Amino acid sequence: MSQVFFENLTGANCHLSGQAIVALRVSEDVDADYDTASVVCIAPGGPHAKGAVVTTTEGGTSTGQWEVEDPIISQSGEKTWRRKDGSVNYAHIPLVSYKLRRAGYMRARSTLSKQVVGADNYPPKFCTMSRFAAITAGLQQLVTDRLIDVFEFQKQRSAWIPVHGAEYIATRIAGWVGLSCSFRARLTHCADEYIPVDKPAISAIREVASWSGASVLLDRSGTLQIFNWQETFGRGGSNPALPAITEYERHDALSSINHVTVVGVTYAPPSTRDVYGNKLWPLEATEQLALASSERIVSERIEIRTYPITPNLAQSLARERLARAYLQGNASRWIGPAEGCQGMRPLENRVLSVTRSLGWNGRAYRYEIAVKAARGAVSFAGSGSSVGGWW
Amino acid sequence: MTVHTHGIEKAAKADSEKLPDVSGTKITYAGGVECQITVTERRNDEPTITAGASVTVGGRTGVCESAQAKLLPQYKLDGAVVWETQHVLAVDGDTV
Repeated sequence: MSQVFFENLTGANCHLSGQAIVALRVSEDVDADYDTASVVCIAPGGPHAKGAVVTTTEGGTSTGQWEVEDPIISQSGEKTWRRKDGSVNYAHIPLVSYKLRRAGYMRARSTLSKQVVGADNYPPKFCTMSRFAAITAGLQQLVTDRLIDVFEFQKQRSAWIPVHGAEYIATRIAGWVGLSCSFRARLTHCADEYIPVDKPAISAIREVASWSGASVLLDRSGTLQIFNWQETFGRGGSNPALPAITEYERHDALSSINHVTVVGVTYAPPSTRDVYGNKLWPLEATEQLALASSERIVSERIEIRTYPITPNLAQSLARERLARAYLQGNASRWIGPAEGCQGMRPLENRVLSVTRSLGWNGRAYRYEIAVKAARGAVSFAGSGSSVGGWW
Repeated sequence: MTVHTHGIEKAAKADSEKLPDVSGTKITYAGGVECQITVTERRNDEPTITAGASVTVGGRTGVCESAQAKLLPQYKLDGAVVWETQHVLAVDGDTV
């Protein structure tokens, strides 16, 4: 296939917040925590500072905001010592290489430490309203039994943050780190207790979302989008409909795993709990993909021991894990000219990943896009869960 | 011994590249300039040649990048056969 160059792309419409782009590679992937970009620019005024929020403009169209992770000044006698046209003297071309992360990166990666959540909320201890009622009843029993006094009762009770559901946890965590979030899906399942001490905010929110089979993605403006993974990508048949295609690949691979077991503990029914409202039962949930002929079980075991879970939560977790594994091997990939496709991105276009590259060959830019999208719908063969068994 | 300068060639070469600019106009950046003088001499005795050192040939001085001598038996100079030498000299500076 021939390479495509665009004469109408210039330094005036391909820049990083005013710095002409010499080379750009952007990766927007629904499976990655953050979109990343590496850019080489001509920066006569000096590089953008680390942490600065910058905007990429490709062909006159904004392709989102980024935070500068690492600005690298590159000087080389061989490669950059040049005399600019019209100038008498030699000087280094002001080339700067940037590593960029999607806007919101610094907030999303900040850990839920005492400084971030505040001393009053540390350690962050979330529980459902029903669990809060049980905790309160248990503490009251302790007071009645004179094992703790009223002050200890109030202290222990107020250490918990009761929530109506997982959405409240996600919103609260996002609020602590100053991240705005948008719900494209309801988070229907919630663990009874969740204590995300010193976890990165995005990891904690991703974990909370995964209870309902959902996931998170920082969009181009730095807003955390919470979406149902399987609902968005698991139906298959996505075609990004690029204006022109220079390469096409279609994968139909064996899934890396086809069976997932989630193991944890869950609160026993109230009638079976002890006098303080505590009793945990073991829980196991399994999900399986439809198998190809002669395919054997390849299982993955997910153990959650740090907090109690529910059967529905475990099942959603297993399904999301399986759907991701299945679509990794059952996707199509299109490559073509990127002009006119600047808006193509995961979530908005139901594609799994987008990679754009913009390169300067000395005369013109070469601009290309590669898009990966789900090919076939995920089909599950069976599921099951049991509570109270022994394993 | 008779020597005369038979030819001189001058060359200046620079690598250049165009890079994009936010103005929308491409800007040319030139790399280092390499200047060379190629001096051809003819003489009627066999010369000794060397390269890598600073030499003066035909009134031009520079670092000898290459030198070669060739016998031209069909020509005579003052009754002796002609030797032709060619020195490629690298000279400092952007102009030559």
